[in-house]
Amino acid sequence: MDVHPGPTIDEFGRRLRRGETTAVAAANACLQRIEAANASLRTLILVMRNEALEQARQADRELAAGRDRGPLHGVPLTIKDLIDVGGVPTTAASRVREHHVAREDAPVVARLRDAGAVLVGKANLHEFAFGTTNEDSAFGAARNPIDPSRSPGGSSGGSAASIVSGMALASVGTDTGGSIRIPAAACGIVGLKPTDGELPLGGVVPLSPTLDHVGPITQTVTDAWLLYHALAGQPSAPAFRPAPVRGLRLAVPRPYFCDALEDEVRERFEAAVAALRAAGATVTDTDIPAAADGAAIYLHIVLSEAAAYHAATLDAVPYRYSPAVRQRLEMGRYVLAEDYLRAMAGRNELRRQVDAAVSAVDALVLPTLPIVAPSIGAATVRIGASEQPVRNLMLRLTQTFNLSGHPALSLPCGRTPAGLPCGLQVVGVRGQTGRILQIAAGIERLVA
Amino acid sequence: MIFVRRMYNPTLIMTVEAWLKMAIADAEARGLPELVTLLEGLAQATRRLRAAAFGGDARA
Repeated sequence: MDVHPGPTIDEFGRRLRRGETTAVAAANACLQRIEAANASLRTLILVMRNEALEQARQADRELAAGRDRGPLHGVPLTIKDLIDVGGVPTTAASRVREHHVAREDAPVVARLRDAGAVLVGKANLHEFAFGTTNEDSAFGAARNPIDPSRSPGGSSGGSAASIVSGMALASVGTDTGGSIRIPAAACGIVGLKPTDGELPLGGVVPLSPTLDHVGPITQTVTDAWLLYHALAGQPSAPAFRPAPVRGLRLAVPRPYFCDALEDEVRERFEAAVAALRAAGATVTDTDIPAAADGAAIYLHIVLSEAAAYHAATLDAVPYRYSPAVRQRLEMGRYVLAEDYLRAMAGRNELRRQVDAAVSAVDALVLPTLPIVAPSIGAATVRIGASEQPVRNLMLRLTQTFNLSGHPALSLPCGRTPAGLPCGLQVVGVRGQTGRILQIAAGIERLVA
Repeated sequence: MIFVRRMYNPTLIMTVEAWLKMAIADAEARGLPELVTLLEGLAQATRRLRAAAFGGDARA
């Protein structure tokens, strides 16, 4: 186990403004953790030591001169290495992008700089974000700090692991089928996929432009609120008030979403539902019938769009991809246009159904992952009587909300007897990402 | 004339099975036999997608 999280953004900010710490001290603490653990956990692809220390010194100078950029001022962050940071490579964890150097910051990174954040490094990921375990990376498989024999989830696995191992206070990831929420659940922290279209995707290597999202990965829901607003260009986030659980109307989409869960995950989820009821929330059941077709819809969209983006390099330098990612991309070249368009129509139907389910309540609640973090190298996991592919299980409960575009957040929901985290997913109304953060913060106090 | 005959020849309808056969033949011709299992999985997903009838019907 290599779990040494630093303070939350919120806590660090209070200590910084009381003069009890400095941005340089925070950056140095993260750099020391990187020095101690990065070689074994393979969390970061690039460590930006000198740049980070200079940014931290600048943050301290500004604060001393009375310039406070807001809650992200002086906060050490990592950035998924799928997102451009000007002047350094964006590897996408692939040999395909060897010698690449980003000309400028992605808009979300520029906003973080404006908010005073300190960038300590670029985080490992599943190659081109096309996988859920981080096992396929040109820089080696990232490992889960809670149990290094297990995956941190993916594709933003290095981002989540960097927080749990103390290499950063928070991170920025991307989520096409669950790639923020899956590693957040596998590592026992918080991950937010905002409403689709809210955060700019410029300077982000695409996987599937229809389904890609950028979002924060943090230790707490309060921190997700702060980082989400900075990413949205509002460095001074509005005051945050968690929603009271008493009186909340919640719904569990049981068919499909609760059909195939590991026993320990089901126990933690049902315990969370019981705690919410005991605290005064109304929890009912609901149904999203098209969710059962979600995997088929998702597959046809993501394969087609990824294959189109990668076609030239698949032809020119196929040997530079890891074999599993190359095979997945090649498969996308066989999807018929008519089936892609059927899938896009299915996406619209799914959106209508999730709209209907969530419009009757304040939020949907469901597990984030049907299993705990899988062992590295595992191809299947047994649930009940059947062996199921890890990739299918990892995406099963999250991809629906990439297709529908609804804001969805994963927060910690207890641990198994072996100490492995489980995640609870909270899904809200499209365009009301702030509201889902408030609801999640109320729930977090009860179930984390 | 040839066009009309092709349109009404049921053996030339683009079923998932016909698509899969062509896709596998193409993958093998390209030296990618490892795609066969993946394409069979994709075919299952395509059958499911088509059965859900999301694409509309020109007669409706």
